Amino acid sequence: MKNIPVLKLGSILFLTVPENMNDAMAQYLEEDVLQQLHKTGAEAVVIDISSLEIIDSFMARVITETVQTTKVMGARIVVVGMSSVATITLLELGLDMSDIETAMDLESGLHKLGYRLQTIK
Amino acid sequence: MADKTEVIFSQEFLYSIFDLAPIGIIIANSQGVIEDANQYICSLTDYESEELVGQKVELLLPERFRGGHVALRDSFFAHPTIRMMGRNRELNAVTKSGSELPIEVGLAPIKSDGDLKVIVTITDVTMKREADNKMRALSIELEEVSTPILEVWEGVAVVPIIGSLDTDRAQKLLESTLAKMKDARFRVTILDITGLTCIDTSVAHHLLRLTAAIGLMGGHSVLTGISPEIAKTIVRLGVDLGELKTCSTLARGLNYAITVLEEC
Repeated sequence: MKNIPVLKLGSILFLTVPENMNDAMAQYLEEDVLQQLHKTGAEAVVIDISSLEIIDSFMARVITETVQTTKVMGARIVVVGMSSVATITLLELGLDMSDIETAMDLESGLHKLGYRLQTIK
Repeated sequence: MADKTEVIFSQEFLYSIFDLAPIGIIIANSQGVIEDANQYICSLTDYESEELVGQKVELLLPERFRGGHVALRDSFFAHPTIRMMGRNRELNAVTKSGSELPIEVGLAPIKSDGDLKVIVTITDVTMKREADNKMRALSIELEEVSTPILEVWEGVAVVPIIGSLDTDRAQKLLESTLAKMKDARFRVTILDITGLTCIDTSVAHHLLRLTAAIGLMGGHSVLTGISPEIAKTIVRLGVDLGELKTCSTLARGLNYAITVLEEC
């Protein structure tokens, strides 16, 4: 069992859902995020799901639950890079995703959280 | 009844009905041998009646179908019912010169002299087939031109929805809009419904689904081109547009899109 690496950038936790994500890994995703939040005291989480071509109902539930629990822990969370096929699947599953903040890519996700990339002179 | 038939319709008269009918008629036996063919089928295929009688019906079929037809013929005689031949398939007859002719074929079993035979009626559907093909091509073309996705500003797309929006078209629109949005990185998508012929709850549902999808992918959407009539209809139908941003005109929608871009 390999965990998904959770990176910490400032006060943001950043994780990329791998392409070969299986159900076993998905089960630990929420747990990992929450543990890291607790340990690091981060204020926000960005989950990049751009490599997920297909989202099934299990994966959708993992994502929505992670979003909800993160919010309960007082942190903000943005899901970035949802593919068009995955979006259509989610719509067809009829899940309520209205309380999930999304962004097109990592950069706009960070921007949504109030961060901007800047070069240091 | 039999007497009456004899009085009104003489043998000759009945044969004339068969022979002069403006539809091709062939009588064939269970071995597929043509026993009679009327004038109309002769003029369609350029054969003389004498040339057809005694031949197998396969003579009038394109060569590629002749082999398979024998089994089909046998299955008809195994279950003789009145029916059209090859429903949902395009049938062709072949003329004496070898050219093909679009046809529709009806089959009807008949008992004659104790033998089971088949009355084959053949309609020339050249015009109908041409019209069908034209209509098909037109509807494909219409589909292509009716849902363009235009980049009108960097990161802003306009999707004019023209005509009607049924489930089929809504699904295609959803797929193409989302795919293009991802590729071209549209941050704001303007759905312009100026050209929408009518709006009902199902159309509203499709539009809301599309905007929900755009939102999930991290984009913004604006609904523009809302005429007073459409606004009234939306309210009267009790459609809840939720948090969907709406503008009366496309120009205002574009204006809004640019403000959204500046905020990003």
